[in-house]
Order: sequence, then structure tokens, then C-alpha cells
Amino acid sequence: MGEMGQSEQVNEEKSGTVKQADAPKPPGLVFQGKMLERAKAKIAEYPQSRSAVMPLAHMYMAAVGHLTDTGMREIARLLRLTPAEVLGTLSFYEMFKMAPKGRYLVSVCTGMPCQLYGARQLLDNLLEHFNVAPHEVTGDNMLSIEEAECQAACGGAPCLEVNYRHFEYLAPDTAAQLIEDIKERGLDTVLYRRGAESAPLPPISAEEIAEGMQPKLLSPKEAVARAKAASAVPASGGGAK
Amino acid sequence: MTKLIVTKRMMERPNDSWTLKSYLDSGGMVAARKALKEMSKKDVLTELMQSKLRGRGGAGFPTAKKWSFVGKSFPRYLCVNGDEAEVGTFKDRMLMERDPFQLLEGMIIASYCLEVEHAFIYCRGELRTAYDRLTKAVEELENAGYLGRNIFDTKMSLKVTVHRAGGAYIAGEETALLSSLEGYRAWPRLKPPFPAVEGLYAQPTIVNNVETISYLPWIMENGGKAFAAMGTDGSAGTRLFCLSGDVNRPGNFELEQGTTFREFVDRWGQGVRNNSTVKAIIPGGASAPWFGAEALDYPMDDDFVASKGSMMGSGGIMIMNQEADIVAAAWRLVKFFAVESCGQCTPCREGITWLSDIYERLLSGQGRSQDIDLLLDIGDNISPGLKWPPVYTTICVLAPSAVAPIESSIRMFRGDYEARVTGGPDGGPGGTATGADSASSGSRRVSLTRRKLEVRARQ
Repeated sequence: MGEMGQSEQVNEEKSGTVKQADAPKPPGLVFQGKMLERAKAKIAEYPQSRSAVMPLAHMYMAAVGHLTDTGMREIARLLRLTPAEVLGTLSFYEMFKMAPKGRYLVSVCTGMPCQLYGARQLLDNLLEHFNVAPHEVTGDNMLSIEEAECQAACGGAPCLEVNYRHFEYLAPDTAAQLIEDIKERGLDTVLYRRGAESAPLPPISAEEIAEGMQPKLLSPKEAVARAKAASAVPASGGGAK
Repeated sequence: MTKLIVTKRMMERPNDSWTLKSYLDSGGMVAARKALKEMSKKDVLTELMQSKLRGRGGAGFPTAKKWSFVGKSFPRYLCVNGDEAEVGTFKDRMLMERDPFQLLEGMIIASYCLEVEHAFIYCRGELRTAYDRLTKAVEELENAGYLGRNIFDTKMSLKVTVHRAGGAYIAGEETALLSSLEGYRAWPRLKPPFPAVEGLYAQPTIVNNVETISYLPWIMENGGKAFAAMGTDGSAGTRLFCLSGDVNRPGNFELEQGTTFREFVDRWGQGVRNNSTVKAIIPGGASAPWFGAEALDYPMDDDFVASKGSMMGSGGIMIMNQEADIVAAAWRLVKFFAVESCGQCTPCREGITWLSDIYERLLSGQGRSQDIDLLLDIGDNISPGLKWPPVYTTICVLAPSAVAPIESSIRMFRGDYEARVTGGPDGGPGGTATGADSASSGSRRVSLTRRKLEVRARQ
């Protein structure tokens, strides 16, 4: 726990001069009043209280912005665990941030399908545009940018998430403008944006659906039979090991 | 007659398929009512057996068989695995976001058959929209009397808890999911005991994928035989295939199993991007060994793809065209596994990180000629024999999964790797580097031998 406290201090020192009054500040006790009721209801949902450790951490993060030492002590007290058990569990998971984040957390997916569409360039462009290092907070406390793993949106590559809301079909050169718009107008007003380079996807038409459902010339069963027959002849490099 | 099953409602009602009103208007809850009121628990299992439904999470285990293994003690639990994080797979997110009630109806049917009174949805934390809609859906069903006590005036009662996870790929492994749900690190457990006998809180637990459960309402309504009539003998019914990578129209497509890759790419994906041709196909998510272009004529069928040394896995099909950088693509998959390793087993924790480092050396223009064989050698230590299905040296299948893209890409595209080797056996500025990454690292391309000499000179 001591180590974590130190890293927090370092972070505060770094952004100390630019820290605004409205920056998220851990209040005395987060789980009190309505929050405490909600937390107790959450714990009661599970047969064993320890299961609620992640849901409570999510609640705490929603209220404070990141997990603090005191927060983890509060969670530990509610669940009758030691603070070390709470830290030991939560530090395993990507989403629980132990240091302050900007108001908007931008998670850029650089997974393989996104990489094929230039996600690495997109991430570099964003970091350069906002002049910030990964996992750091911009001077105005508005933005943190991180590299993320697959976000289950490979069909809309390259994609990113802002506070865990998906934005798909981006392009390396337009992502910065998207984030600027979100910063200016708020997350809820910016619904969807395609990259300039990526052509609009042709929608699947009703005719196409109907046609696709018709029996095909080659039924799946026939396709298997044919492929099996073909593979009886030793195929060249066909994955045979 | 339409053959769309799990995506029917979201195609017909693109603007409100996730609302309760829309769900009930389009024939929702008919199957659950039928199952609970007219069918015995045994009937439900029989229908499921006849449907030949196989799990859609990756392993492809027959669902009815899994259910039949459930232990005799109570309470029993049902956990729906919505921790979708496999690279190239994005179907469960769509099902949870666009048709949450279909999933919940499937859970009611499954819980009835398995005599479960408390079911969980383990929803990946990053999928915020899915979590919000599922939570709302559960609330609405409770208020409408579809969840809670005495559902449809029967003796059955069911509570559903939507659990928001914290973002760890390994939590999608079923025993890791249970550890995580219990409030621990998502560490996979040794099997046996299997979760069906000793799972969540050491009670009998069935873990099923979101897509698997979403098929249940249709199967109960139309009968297992109607489902088995579609697709192929080994892989019955339709399946939600995810298409991504270098195609003109990536996305989710529900198709009969056994459709060929060529039809999938050319017709549904509208061809390969940039008028190129297919160079490599990943048939079933990041864990699956790659195929070359010759696989275009293979049917997308579990057994057939398995006989060719790969797997349909989670149904995430990724296409790479001739312009794709094979080494960089393989590196990114390996790095994914290195990042997501849970850290319990040494071959995985140390080995995959090492593999990823070697790739970075190749990509930065400092590759050595022995690096390619070194990749295979380390891979062989992680998964002896480099076979698929793999041999394990670890608790779970994550480590062998990381070796799959390495082994298959080197076997098929060794030339691409050799082009990355710029130095002699000792490194050094021998050949010319190709690719964008190496251009910026020219200054770093210093021979190791020369560096050693410099160090010695300073001493």
C-alpha cells in the first residue's frame, strides 16, 4: 500500500500547478448515505460477499475517478477483507486505475485487425496532437490516452473507446478531431463518426438477406463432402502437420 | 422462410430490438413459456441434444453433453460468459447490446432445465453499453414478473445478476471466470474438478457462451431437429461469424455452418480490400493457427477445419491481404497474449514475453538469422511438438494459443521473416531493412559484437 501512496504523490506533484478546483478529489468517506445503501444492495446480490469486490470498485471509480488507498480500505471494510486482499485482486484487472485519470479516458485499440487499419499511427497521432504520454493526464485534466487490447469491435476497425463507449470506423487522421469534439461538446452529443478515408460501408440489403437465405447451389453438407474428397489427395501445404 | 435465428430481431427492428416492448411484440418469451409450462426438464435436454448445438465460445463442446454432466448437489449456478475479448471476435457484444432479452430468455430456459435459481452474466467491463442494457433488461423483466418467484405461475424462481468485470482476457476461460466471479484474480484452475461438478463457490456450475444461450429460445420454439437440419452433420445450425481484417465489408454475419471461406469473403465480405487477394486467413480468433489462401475452399465447419490443423474457435475470421505485414501481425497477436497472461505458469509468463521481445527485435531491424528458429524453439518449450490441438505445459490453453500464430506464420511465410533479418548470425548491419518500423531505428542498428568491443575498450 505504501508504494501506491507514493506514486499518487508523485502524480499530484507533477500536475500540481495546473490542478483545477473541480478536479476529482477523494472525499472523506465515499460509501455513505445513498452510496452505502447501493453498495449493501450490491453485496446482497451475491451468495458470498467477496464477489462484490469488482462491482464496488466500479462504484467507487464512478464516484471518485480512480481507486485510492482509502477507497480500497473502505471496500475491504464493507466486505470484511483485508485491504491487501482488495488491492491484490483489483490490481490484476486493467480497468481499475490506481492513479488519477482525465475526465475522458481514451483507450485506443491497437489489436491485430485494428493494426491492419493503421491503429498504431492513430495512437501516435493522438498522443502527438494532445502532447501527452500514454497513461498521463493532460494539463487541463481533461484527457488520458492509453493503448488498449481488443475491444470487441474488430468489424469497425480502427476503433477506440472514450470512457468505455465505442467509436468505430475511424481513420488515423480524423481521430484527434473526434476527441476535440468530445472535449468541447461532451460525450453524449458526439454519437458516431467515420474516418474520412474509410468508405461508408454498404449496408446489407433486404434482398441480399432474402437471397442469402435461399438454398445455395452448393449446400453446406455438399461443400464438406467436396472438400473432404479434395483433401484425400495430399494438398500442398494445406496445414497438414 | 428465413433462416436467421439469433440476429433476426435486430435485423428486423434495428432501432429498438433491445426494448422489452419490441421483444414481446416480436414473439419474445413464447419459448420460455412453452418450456416451463409444457415441457419437462428432460424434454428440454432432449430437444437440445437433438439440435446438436455446440458451444460457441471456442472449444465447441456439445452443449447438451455439458449440461448432462452437472453435479447432483444444490445450489447450482449458471454463468453466462460475456467476457468477449478474443481478437477478431465481436459477436457477443452485439448480442448483448442489441438483443439482451433473447439472452435472458435463453437463461430462463437453461435455468429451468438445470434447476438453477441464481444465474450470472459475466459481462466484460469495457462493454459499457452491453452492461447498461443488460442491467436495465433484468430490472424490466423482474418488474414484469418474468424473473423472480413463480415465473409463469410455475414453481420456478430465478434471480439474474449482471456482473461487471474489470477487463482481463483470461477471465473468459471458464475456470478463470469463476475465480473472478468469486472475487479473486482471474486465475484459471486445474481441471478436474470440472465446473459442472465443482464450479462457482464449489457448487455445480454450467458456464456457457452468450451466443450458445441465445439459440435456446429458437430451439425450444421450433424444435431441435429443425436446428440440426441446418448446417452440416458435425456443426449443426447457423453461426454468427465475425469477419474482420482486409475485406471491403467487415462485420457479423449469421450464416449456415459449412459455408465456404470463399463465399464468406467474396460475397458477404464483398471481396478483399484494395483489390488485392487473400494472403492469410485466421479461421477462429487469435488463438487459431493460420491458413493460407488455399483454405478459401474449405467449409467453415468445426470438424473439417480441425482436421486441417486449426479450429473455428470463437468464429472470429480475420483476413490478411497481400499488402499485410505478416511479421507485424503475428507480433501483435503474440503481444496480446503476453499482456493478457495471468502469470501463474512460468512457460506462459516468461516465454510469451520473450517471444514478443524477439519479434520486436525483428521489427526494429536488428533481427538475427537465428531468431526465426529461436521463436520456434521457445514455442516448442511452451507447447511441445507445436501441434494443434496443442500439448500443454501450462494450466490453461492461453500459452499454446500464443504459439499458434508463430508456428503457422513461419511455416507458410518464412520468406517474410527472413526479409526482416538484417544482420548476420550475430546481428550487425548486414542487409537492408525493409518496412516502416526499421526506417526510424537506423541509429540503433549497431552490431552486438561492435558494442561488446566498445565496452571492452572502455574498460
